[in-house]
Amino acid sequence: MKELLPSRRETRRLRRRIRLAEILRLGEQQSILVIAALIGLAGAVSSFAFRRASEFIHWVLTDQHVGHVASFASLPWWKCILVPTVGGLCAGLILLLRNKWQSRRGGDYMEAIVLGDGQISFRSSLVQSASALFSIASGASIGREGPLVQLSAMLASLFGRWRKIPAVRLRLFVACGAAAGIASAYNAPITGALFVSEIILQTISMEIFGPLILSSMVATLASRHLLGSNPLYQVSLPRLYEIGWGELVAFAGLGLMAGIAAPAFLWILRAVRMGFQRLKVTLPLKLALGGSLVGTMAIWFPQVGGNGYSVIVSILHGQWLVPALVSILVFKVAATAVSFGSGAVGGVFTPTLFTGASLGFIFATGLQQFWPHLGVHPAIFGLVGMGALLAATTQAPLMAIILAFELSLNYDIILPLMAACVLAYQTSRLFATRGVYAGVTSSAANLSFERRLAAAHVAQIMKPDPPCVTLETTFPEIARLFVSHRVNYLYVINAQHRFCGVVSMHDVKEFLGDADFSAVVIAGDLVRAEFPTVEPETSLAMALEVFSRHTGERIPVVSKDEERRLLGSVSKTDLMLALVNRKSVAA
Amino acid sequence: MVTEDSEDSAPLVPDLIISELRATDKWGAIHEMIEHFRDHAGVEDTAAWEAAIVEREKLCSTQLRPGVALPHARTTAVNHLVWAVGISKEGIAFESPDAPRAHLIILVGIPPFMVRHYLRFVSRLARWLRSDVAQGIPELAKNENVVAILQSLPAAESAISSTSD
Repeated sequence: MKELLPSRRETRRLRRRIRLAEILRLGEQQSILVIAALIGLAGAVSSFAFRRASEFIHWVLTDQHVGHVASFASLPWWKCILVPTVGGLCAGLILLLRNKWQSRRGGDYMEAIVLGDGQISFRSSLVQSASALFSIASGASIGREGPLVQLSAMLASLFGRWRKIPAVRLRLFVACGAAAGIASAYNAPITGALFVSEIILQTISMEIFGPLILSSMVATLASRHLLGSNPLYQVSLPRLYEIGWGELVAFAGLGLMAGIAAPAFLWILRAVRMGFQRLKVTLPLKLALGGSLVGTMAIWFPQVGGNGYSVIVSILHGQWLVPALVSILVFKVAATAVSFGSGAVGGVFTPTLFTGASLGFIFATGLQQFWPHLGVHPAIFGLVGMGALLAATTQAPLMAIILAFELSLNYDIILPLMAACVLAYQTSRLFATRGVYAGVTSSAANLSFERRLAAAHVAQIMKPDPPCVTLETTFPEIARLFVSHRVNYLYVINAQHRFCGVVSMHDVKEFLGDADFSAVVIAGDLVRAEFPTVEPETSLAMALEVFSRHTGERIPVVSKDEERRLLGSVSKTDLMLALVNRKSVAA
Repeated sequence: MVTEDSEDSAPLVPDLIISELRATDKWGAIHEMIEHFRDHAGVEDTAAWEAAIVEREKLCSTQLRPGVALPHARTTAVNHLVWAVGISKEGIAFESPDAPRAHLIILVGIPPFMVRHYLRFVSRLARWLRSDVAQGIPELAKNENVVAILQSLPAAESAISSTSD
């Protein structure tokens, strides 16, 4: 009997432990944030590893430790052609493995977030990333943000599968991975979150945005630690730079021009891709052909090689004459179309930024010629042009504004950016422009939100094995479970697994350290039978209604039959995520 | 009106003290004690209360400590917390035949919604049972003045409350 009456010291220790556990207890939302942060860290590390691997392969192929433009400029003509051709051939051969290793899981992170269950094939992602490594390292005119996002999202998906996370939450974690990939690629945390919200999910809700922001933030911090914290594109503005009305009108004109240029740019990309698709040759040969064309252009214009980063930097420092830049622009767009069209794995973000920067610079230099009194700064127009063209090609003006700001970390450009990006976006819509990422997101939009909501059931988001006790479970065991689990209610079942009700944390918390109860109080004494339940067949719409009358985070799922066996639980967060995701794809 | 969050600062006064239980087994003792509540205003249905207590007792024994048993149930058969203390000089086997016998039987009925009220009641009761007065319950039960001693319980409980941490 002595063990039922512990010493005052033991009781005090237990109470302290329980108080501490209550303070430190992680709720469902907090757990999501912690995992989102870890995904951000993993995204940054994978991005760093990818960068280093591509630099290594670039060195192997060219024997150069410098960027693509400098490499092409110093290579003999035959090697300018050979390197991207061999790179393309290797990338294509690797991609053949993807077809061989077909997986029931999807290969694309966008599909996994928008349409799928958050599952991304590990092998397919590795194959795509390895292929992208060869394309990018050998000088294809393509951005590395694509594989970075894919890798980061795949790691999030892997983690979710390992932890057996339900599909709806897994999709959120994959989205966090994608945000981390963008954030670490561009040193741009807000852009990472907005990329996923505005482009992929097409919605901004705090259920989703909070984890995305945290994941992006951690990815950026880790990337800055690994790669340095300078802005990606620095532009030097005059001191006390102020934008006059005349210049603001000029920025609006740039927005209009970008809005017209964007559909043309996208049309070229898609037309060349269709041309390559018609070629009756194998994928490695298509990629090799794409590489050889880029290499040929690079003999005269080495600036077409790579994603265009170094050329953008030089544009933003005003180091170009317009005729030379026009030539580079024409060939760079052609090189991007050839790389993209041949099937090289990568992104078109940075090539788009290059095109926008060139347009902005050329536009401003023209203004200088005709209206010198305006006093425009071509470098600033280059930066704003990047945002404007991106807004129109991605159909995501908010993300474009923030990206251009984060790339330069210059607040003075915000007003012109806002004017140009919104006008570019609106103008491009006049041409019924489909964004560069429109393919995936539009295929799900056929089903109406209501139809999909009614068609989805609790079984799809149910989590099995919720923390539960039997009627006979003793008070110390109940206290232990409350301390070790992040729940406000413990479900109570009888010997036949029938759901009997709940033990509420609110009821017992002031007694958790009370050893007097150990002898006589059991779950059956504490159970509250009046508690809402849902069934696996309950629609999400009905579950939402049940949650609207219930303040708790979770609701038990019981069998539909007379036995009312406890099958699992459904959380409010998962329901919200399911609804947000469905709404976003139906929008 | 009794609510779940009613302050239970009132003294612990049983509704009934039965100075000498005639029953010799626990089911008999429970029945005998509940029978005394037949005309009690706080009890709607004695049979339902007894059934609830028997059901609870079957889940696991309610022997609180050597010499003391706490048969209880949360049931709609009572309107508010009702309880009684029954004394058995011979003792009643509540746990197993060879376990220490219960001399003090504390019978409790409480409405289902009063979970925290019930826990506070058990907590206060347990604290009183740790007091010096309650330590010698087997001997206490044989004392001729046991009823008078139990009636002094509220004062003892209050005194303990004021010194506990």
